[in-house]
Amino acid sequence: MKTTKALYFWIIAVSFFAGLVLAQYYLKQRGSDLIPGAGGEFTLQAASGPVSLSDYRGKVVAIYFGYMSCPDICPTSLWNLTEAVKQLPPEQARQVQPVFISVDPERDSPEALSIFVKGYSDNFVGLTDTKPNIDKVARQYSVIYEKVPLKDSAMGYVMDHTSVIYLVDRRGVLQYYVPHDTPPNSINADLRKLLAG
Amino acid sequence: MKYLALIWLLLSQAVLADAAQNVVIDKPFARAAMQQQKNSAAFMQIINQGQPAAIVNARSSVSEIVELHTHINDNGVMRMRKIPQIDLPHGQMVKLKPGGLHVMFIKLKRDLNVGDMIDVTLVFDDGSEKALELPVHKVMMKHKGMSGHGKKMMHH
Repeated sequence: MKTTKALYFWIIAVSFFAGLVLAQYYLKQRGSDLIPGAGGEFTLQAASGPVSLSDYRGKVVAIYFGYMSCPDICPTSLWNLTEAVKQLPPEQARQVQPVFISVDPERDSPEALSIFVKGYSDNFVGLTDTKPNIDKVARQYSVIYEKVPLKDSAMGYVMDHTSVIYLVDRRGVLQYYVPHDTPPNSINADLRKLLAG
Repeated sequence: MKYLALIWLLLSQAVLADAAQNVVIDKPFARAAMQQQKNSAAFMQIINQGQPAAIVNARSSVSEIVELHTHINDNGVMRMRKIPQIDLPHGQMVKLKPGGLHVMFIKLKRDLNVGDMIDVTLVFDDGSEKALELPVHKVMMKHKGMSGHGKKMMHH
């Protein structure tokens, strides 16, 4: 009997504190777009001028952070995404906006990016900006990136970066976090869920 | 006596053969690159049937520089690094594949279009060389059933 009472006490105590923590998190997340992982609105530079996430309200947006000198990781992810969109019926594919954000503005100009992304699909958008502006968006989406000099390589430096495709719903809310190496058919299934919603 | 001579011949062949002769390359390909893309990579499966060896260098006419690289997946952060050599232990298959070891083309002199054939020469630690012709492919992940779905974000 005594142990049952003690158990109830602990269940209530733990639930109470869990509730407090969740409430804190909830209030914080509502209050700001800058909570890590929350995603949210941003404005970055395309060759055609500034582009905001809210420009694509009504579409499902797929965002990938990388850099043009990336020989392997980024192209694999961009092809996976492109293929996932291609597997949709054309009228649905038109409702998906793929976005590539370069974390290497030193080497990747908006103009070069606009040509680069067209290698994947006609409506792919390439964005970049100053480092402080990229940093702000990276924090919102929990992207880790870092410029690492490679003294022994003709690369000069590489950009270590998180390889994730972020799927944002028609209202601009970040919904899916697609890890590296996810095959096109799985990305396609996630896109369909968001297009249906 | 005849057999002994034959065995001696075979043994001496195995010992005398250089790395380039002992190494079998399977499924080599390069990744398509165009539209301002300055770098790309080549991948292959390698089986070394001889003494332990290593690839220490590579050349190609498609880029100004060719290096040996690998990727480290550090909790989802991809860190690409140059490596001095790719070890080829006896009898093991070494896979150069997307997301891992690769022959890296830096400063491409031309586009690598799907269907092109390009040249790569591997240089081994004993100085021997192996010239390869590889096709250019568009690289994406293979269908893996239901694995690897996107993670749903938690919204409160």
